[in-house]
Amino acid sequence: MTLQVISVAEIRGLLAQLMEQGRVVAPHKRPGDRQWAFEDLTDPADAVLQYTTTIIPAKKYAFPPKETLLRYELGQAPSVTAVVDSEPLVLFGVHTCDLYGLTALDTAFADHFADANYLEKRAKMRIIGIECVPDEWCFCASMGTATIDSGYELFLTPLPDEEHYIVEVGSDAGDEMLKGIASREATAGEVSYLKTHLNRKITQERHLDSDYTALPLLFTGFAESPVWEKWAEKCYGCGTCNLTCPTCFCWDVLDEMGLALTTGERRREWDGCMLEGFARVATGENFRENRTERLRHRFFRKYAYLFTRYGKPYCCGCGRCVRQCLVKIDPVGVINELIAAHGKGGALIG
Amino acid sequence: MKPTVAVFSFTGCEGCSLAILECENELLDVLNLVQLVRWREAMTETAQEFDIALVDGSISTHHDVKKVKQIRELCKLLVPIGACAHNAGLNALKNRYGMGQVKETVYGDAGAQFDTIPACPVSAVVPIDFALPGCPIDRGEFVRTVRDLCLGKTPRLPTYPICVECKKKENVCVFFQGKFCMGPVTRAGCGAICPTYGDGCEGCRGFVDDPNQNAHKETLAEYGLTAREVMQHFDMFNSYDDRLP
Ligand code: SF4
Ligand code: SF4
Ligand code: SF4
Ligand code: SF4
Ligand code: SF4
Ligand code: SF4
Repeated sequence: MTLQVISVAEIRGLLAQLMEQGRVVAPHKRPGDRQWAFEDLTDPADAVLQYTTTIIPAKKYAFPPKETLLRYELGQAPSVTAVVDSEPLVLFGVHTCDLYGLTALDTAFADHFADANYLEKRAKMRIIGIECVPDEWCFCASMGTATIDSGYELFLTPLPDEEHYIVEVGSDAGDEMLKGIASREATAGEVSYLKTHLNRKITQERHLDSDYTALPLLFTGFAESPVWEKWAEKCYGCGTCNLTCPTCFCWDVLDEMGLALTTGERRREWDGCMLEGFARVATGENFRENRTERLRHRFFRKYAYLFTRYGKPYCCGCGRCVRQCLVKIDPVGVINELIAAHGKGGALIG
Repeated sequence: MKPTVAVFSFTGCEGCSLAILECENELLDVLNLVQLVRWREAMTETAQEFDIALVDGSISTHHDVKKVKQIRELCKLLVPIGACAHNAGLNALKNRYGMGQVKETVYGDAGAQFDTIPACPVSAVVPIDFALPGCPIDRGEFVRTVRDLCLGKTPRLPTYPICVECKKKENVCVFFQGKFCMGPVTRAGCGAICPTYGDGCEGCRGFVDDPNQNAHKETLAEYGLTAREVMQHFDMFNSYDDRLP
């Protein structure tokens, strides 16, 4: 299909139309310097079109911070009921980095054991992507996520007047959404603007000193580096970097028995490998007791272990981890320092 | 038979034992699990036998020391509740001064007749079985703890800091709103209630097991606090803690 152009007013109209059909969530401004969050849309005018990243990524709609997995009843006839909550949802205003983040989670939650709680919620999502406003922490270009050509119904890119957006349609559902919305074909000038705009985004200032595809091999030379300790010295082990990351998917499972001791539920809650208790096992042993080990583990997960396992990195370069980190532990800074200290050769395996 | 419970108060505002009364929705369920036999906030009985002793307040007089030792003898499980009992909380601020000076400041000439010693947590005087932190205690945490003790399970406290609960709620970090917070070094469990309402955490639940205090002093200074103000943030609820310089 040829590229279409719609106005901001039409975008708001589209949102109003979608809100009539069901639940729509969109970025909203929060108090404080450059803070946004996905929230339920109650007025189409509240949806923020231009922003950098939300505090928590869109993953919270498929993998909520707290979720009931099953409910049980004790007594004469004990019973267990699995709980899977899901509902149709339109996610408006998702950036390319976050679209990639969702595809990374899709892979992980479908692997080995299909996670119904995640996959059912995800299957009922329709997504309208939007081009972002990069800041000094973004490095999506280094992770290959500055552009993406699937995972959305519609994708919107602002034209220089910021009153009109180019619309790319990514699915039949996207076509369906546009029905009844006034749009016109993009001009040749507008199409070429789209290309130059994307080029600007992919030459962003913060970047890795290596091609991301080389990271798993490079990391084989980083295991014993003193660089980890240096950065970990100022780390709190607060897990903010895990919880705000679009590609982190760890959770803890707890049973919560009701006070009457007759019913209860099993829940999962977000967990993170930077937290002290993460690698503690039932005997009390903790496999990664200190913050240096945990920081190193987190980086190896993102740029080596999961990369090797799934053939793609578990970092989308969104920069949330460092943006929200009070002591500014920055993936680009850490990785470039490792490269500077240990070279690009990687260690010989075996 | 239901375990019997007694509640005692030492030096503090008794807010923590009051918080038990405020567990309105769960109170009846709790009373199905345990039998209350002594509690001056709520009843006139003064039982001398009980399985579980809940204690709020710091130990700060010779009389307190004697009494808490007796309680320890009489109960099977001793559970301090609230910051005052858990880590001496605000009360420990007086320990910075000589006891003579403290008495004079508060009571003037009449001070001499008061019995006061440096404030300390219950655990500094007698062995304890578990402690609930917070000023005041978190009601949900309290009822879960009672349930777990009745089931013979070790109750659990989060080992992670407030920031975890804060992020799960997607709060804007108060540091990004020009305020200060002890959340990164403070034990979670209150649901990050202060940052959720836009205030910095004061650290009332005490430190996590392995707080990065140096990092936090630097952070507070970087966001604009003077060295003295940094120490005030650390001292407010945690001055008893001997990890402080
Ligand atoms: S890197 Fe930053 S956000 Fe992550 S655990 Fe350490 S201090 Fe917290
Ligand atoms: S590691 Fe950091 S930059 Fe990478 S995806 Fe996670 S939050 Fe974003
Ligand atoms: S990481 Fe890239 S896609 Fe994501 S907000 Fe930043 S610039 Fe945009
Ligand atoms: S911890 Fe706080 S609420 Fe509880 S008794 Fe002490 S001062 Fe009162
Ligand atoms: S407001 Fe406090 S608890 Fe919340 S993230 Fe910031 S430092 Fe942590
Ligand atoms: S946020 Fe901090 S000060 Fe507030 S209740 Fe929780 S631990 Fe206490």
